Amino acid sequence: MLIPKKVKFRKQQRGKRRGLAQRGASLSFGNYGLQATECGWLSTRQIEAARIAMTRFIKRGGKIWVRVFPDKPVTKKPAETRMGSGKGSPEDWVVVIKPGRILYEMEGVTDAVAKEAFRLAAHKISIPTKFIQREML
Amino acid sequence: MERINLTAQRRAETGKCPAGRLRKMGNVPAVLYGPGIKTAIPLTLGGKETNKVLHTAAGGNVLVNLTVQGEDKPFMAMFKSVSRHPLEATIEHVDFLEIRMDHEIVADVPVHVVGKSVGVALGGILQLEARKIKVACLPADIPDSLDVDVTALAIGSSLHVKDIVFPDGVKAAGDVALTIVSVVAPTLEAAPKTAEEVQAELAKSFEEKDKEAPEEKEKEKGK
Repeated sequence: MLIPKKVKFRKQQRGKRRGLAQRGASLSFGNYGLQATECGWLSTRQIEAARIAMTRFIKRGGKIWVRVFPDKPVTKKPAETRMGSGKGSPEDWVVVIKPGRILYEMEGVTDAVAKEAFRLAAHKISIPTKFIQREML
Repeated sequence: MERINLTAQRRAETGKCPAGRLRKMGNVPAVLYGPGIKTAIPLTLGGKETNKVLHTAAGGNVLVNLTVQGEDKPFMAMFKSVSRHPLEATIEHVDFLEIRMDHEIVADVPVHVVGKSVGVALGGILQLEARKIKVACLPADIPDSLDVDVTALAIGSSLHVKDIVFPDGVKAAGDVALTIVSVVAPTLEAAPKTAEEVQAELAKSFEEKDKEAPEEKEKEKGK
């Protein structure tokens, strides 16, 4: 799973998600990509689950690039805890996704295989996405 | 190299609001600058025509004979940069660079892979590391694409800029050691982790972070 090796601060504020992706919004490596159409948080487990779903489908056929890295810690308070007594403990790592961000890229497979692999991956992700390919840009 | 005629109007208003109005009407705001132009000229282009010009075989690497209304002579220009909407991929703005036909320029030329690699036949994956190569030449000599023969590439081998045979009058402008195409072995899928393993890995990562930043934790306790 993708986890930062070292962080300066253990806890972060939640922040805002407004605007469009200004970076990482175009295909850089492969011919096919999965692009987020809305904003949200993507957890390290979701990123890994989607990657595994794609890798299993394409078997040994192609190459996949993960274009996002979860570097934001998310805290949670334990269940049935009264409010107060400070911020909860870090539980997960997420990446902030804005519309237009490319999440994965793929190469070395046919259009149909790439489309199906990304469809399977999209089911593991909590953000609406769309399939893009280099000719479309 | 392909030459295309394009007509543009001078843009009286500049800034994001007038540019937004232009885009709503289906036009594209643009700007023309170069060594022969004292101050940059803001322009308006037709959206459909611009899109057509950018979808040639050379991938927008065309010489544009730009006729600006109100100017005596047309300008010879090239696309310097094209900014697109991150989600819809529509053209938001175009930069034109005025060029002189007798001055050498640097241009990005798309790579065209020729042949089927030996490594691919053995199960390898052909990976294009660079889709465009920087070349220096006269504007009229810019090739539409550069052919790269990958037939002899085995798994683990690669082709670099120095291995390409450039046409006459064209030379590499960037790093000659740059890898263009390589054939890599497919990666094997690791066994998936169980939910407990994932939970343990995450918990371990936070434990390590706690050890790394004990001062911060003490501060929190102090609160």
